[in-house]
Amino acid sequence: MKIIAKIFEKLGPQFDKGKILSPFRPVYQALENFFFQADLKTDNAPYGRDPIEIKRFMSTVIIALVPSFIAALYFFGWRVLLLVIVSYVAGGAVEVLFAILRKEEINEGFLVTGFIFPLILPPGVPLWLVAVGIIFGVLVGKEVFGGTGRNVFNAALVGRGFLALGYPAIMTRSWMAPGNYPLGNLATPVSISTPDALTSATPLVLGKGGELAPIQDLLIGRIPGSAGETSALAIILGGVFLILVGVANWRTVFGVLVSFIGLGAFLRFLYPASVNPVWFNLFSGGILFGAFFMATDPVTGPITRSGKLVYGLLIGSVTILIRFYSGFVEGVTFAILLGNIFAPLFDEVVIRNRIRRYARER
Amino acid sequence: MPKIAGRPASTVREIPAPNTLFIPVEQGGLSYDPIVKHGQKISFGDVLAEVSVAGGKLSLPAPAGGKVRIHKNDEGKVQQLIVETGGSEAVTRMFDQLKPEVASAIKVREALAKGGVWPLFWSSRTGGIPTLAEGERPRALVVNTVLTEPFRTRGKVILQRSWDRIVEGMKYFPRLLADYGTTEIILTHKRDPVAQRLYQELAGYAWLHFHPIPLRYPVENPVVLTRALRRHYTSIKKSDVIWVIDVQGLEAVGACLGEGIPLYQRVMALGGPGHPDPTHVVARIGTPVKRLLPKNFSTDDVLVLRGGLLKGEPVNPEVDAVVYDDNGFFFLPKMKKREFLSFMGPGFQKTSVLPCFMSRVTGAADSTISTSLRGEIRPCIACGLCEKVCPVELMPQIIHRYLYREAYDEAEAVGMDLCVDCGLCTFVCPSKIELQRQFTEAVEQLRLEHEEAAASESL
Repeated sequence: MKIIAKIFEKLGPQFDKGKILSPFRPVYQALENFFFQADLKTDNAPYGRDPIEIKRFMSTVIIALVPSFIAALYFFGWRVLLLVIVSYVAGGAVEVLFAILRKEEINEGFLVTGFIFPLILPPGVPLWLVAVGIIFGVLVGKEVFGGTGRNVFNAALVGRGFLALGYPAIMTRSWMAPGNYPLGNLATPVSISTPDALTSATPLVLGKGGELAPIQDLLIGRIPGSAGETSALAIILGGVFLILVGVANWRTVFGVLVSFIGLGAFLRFLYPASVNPVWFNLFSGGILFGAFFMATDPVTGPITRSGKLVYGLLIGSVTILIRFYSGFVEGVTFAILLGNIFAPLFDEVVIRNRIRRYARER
Repeated sequence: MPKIAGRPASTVREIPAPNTLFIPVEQGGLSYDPIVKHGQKISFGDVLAEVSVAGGKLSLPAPAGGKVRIHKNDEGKVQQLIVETGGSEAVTRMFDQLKPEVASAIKVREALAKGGVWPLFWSSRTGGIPTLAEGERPRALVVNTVLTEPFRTRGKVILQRSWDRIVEGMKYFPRLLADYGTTEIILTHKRDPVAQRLYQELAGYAWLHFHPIPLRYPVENPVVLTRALRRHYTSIKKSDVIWVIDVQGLEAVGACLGEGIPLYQRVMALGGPGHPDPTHVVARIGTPVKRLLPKNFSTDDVLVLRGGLLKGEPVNPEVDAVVYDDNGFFFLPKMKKREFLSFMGPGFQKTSVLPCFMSRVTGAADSTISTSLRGEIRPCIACGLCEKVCPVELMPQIIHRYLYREAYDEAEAVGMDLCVDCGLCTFVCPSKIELQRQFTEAVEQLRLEHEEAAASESL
């Protein structure tokens, strides 16, 4: 600990104004603040503060993603780790570039975006595609709007949507077959280029033709699919943790799942030939991952508490509709992006109500 | 409000009266004019300074007898009155006792004004000290026994110490209240034995109602209390005035009217993680703060806040003294070292509104709170914690976003002026945004704009 402090003490002056490295001060600051708490004191009331900070807030999300990450490593091998590394490096470069250009500190939001993005991709995608996707996502989905806290759309989903629309052929053929008990795919050698064990028959694709994967496989994750989305149990574990810790709002998750299950059951009842059973819909594809980790992104969802419920209801219903009444087999990405568009509208309704209430109280 | 370490014990330690008392002339937003001369000898309770307000004069009584010195600042303006007491501790009756059944409303008000007790009342009409003029008689007088901000004098401590004075004080309330006015007592439980005793002892003297209230900061905020009361009693009209006083103020009322003793001392809670032995103390008004400090105290290590953790402002123990409405000093350790990997720790010693620290499981109190900001300043991520803690159901994150782009009118429409300045949103914000400061400045800005608009309209 003292050694690290000494290293930073030595390096610090190199980034001062006037030195060659001074534009890179945000990078130095981010590293130093990672290890040591910011040297900031309160200078007005309240003079003591709550210990919750953005770093911890984002860390809880990363901890909640770890079960899905481990499941991804198990079923699809260490290649997933490679995807994560590429995502962090490429997206991180964009973040650092903008921090330098804006002369602001590097925000921690990217640590979550960069981790989530590879988990929603097919594990067999070429590494260059991951980089293209995350760079587009961070650049167009976040930085263009002003950076963390000001983005309209979920940056990871913008990247994902971009890849789905821009590189559909590569995406549809990059699914991997999951590894089996006992070692899963952990023992398979990592391939930098596309791996051998590719398939295009994900449960959702097969489901369209009426072939339903067994529920055990869906729950545990022994199915082809996006890297972090296959294991329903891992997602639920992490997701419930995130709700208990208070970082993910239960209203959003509740809204998504209730409308998804509700509308799904209703349509299944009416049209059993063209709509799959509710349990199959729920545990296949990315709806659980989207509900717990992507819809609950506080920046892109509604700000007001009541707005979050309606937002969830919208996302769940639109996902079902896209799954069964469009050419796509999966609808979570576009449903959440659509929700992002509507979020300010839901907020506006709540705000208008409040304004009336405050006017009455005055 | 998360648990903070250093809760003061219920014992009350007597601080012996010092040889010198310091009384500032600027108190409670009023500027008092000295009516004694430099070097004059005075007795306990003599009026040292007065200020004219609507309806009469408010007085600053001497907390002890002795010789007065008038201390002026460099521009010749009177700053404080210094009383050299020579250690005199005498407490004598200053004026005649008034009998609650027969005392006239005017006499009651005069006595309270002369005894320096009047500023302890809060009026919903003025948002501060009520006018002395006879015209304003409140529809309800709220007695608040619940103080939740860490750490201010607990109501129970005052109730135990000064039960008789408190009961006596309430007997005079009908003289202050409007016809059919009521006394509303705020307690923690409806079945509190205090409620039973008060009911018995005050039967026939006043109309009492008891209200249980959850121990959640900032219930003691008078704006929050009066709003809750208005929601509870739909018969209270908007134009009705409600007054609020806390238990210690009520004790002073009882002493002043029932025993003829002016306001001369305060019971204060000394607490916080920076205090080795948190307890309550009682000291004369004018006692220098440094006499309240624990042994081996150093201002290098601890910041002393006058008030509580959330609204407290730093005091300089060398310069500042106890004033008429003090009820606590919070000892906040100063940030010394930068914690290593602070955000990763399990958090057994940190408590938060967000349940992501292990202290939520163990029930521990926060003992690591300090002057550290505990994070870096970041943009608002709309986490919603500020909305969750706001006592008046505002949406600080929305107001912040409006103010961020200087949309003052929209911010006012969304309730910025309804803010009660409790400080909880700023306390809780993970992005460490100075919300309360931003709101206060914006409200001030809006006020100036309205004044300018009104001025230009009248031209």
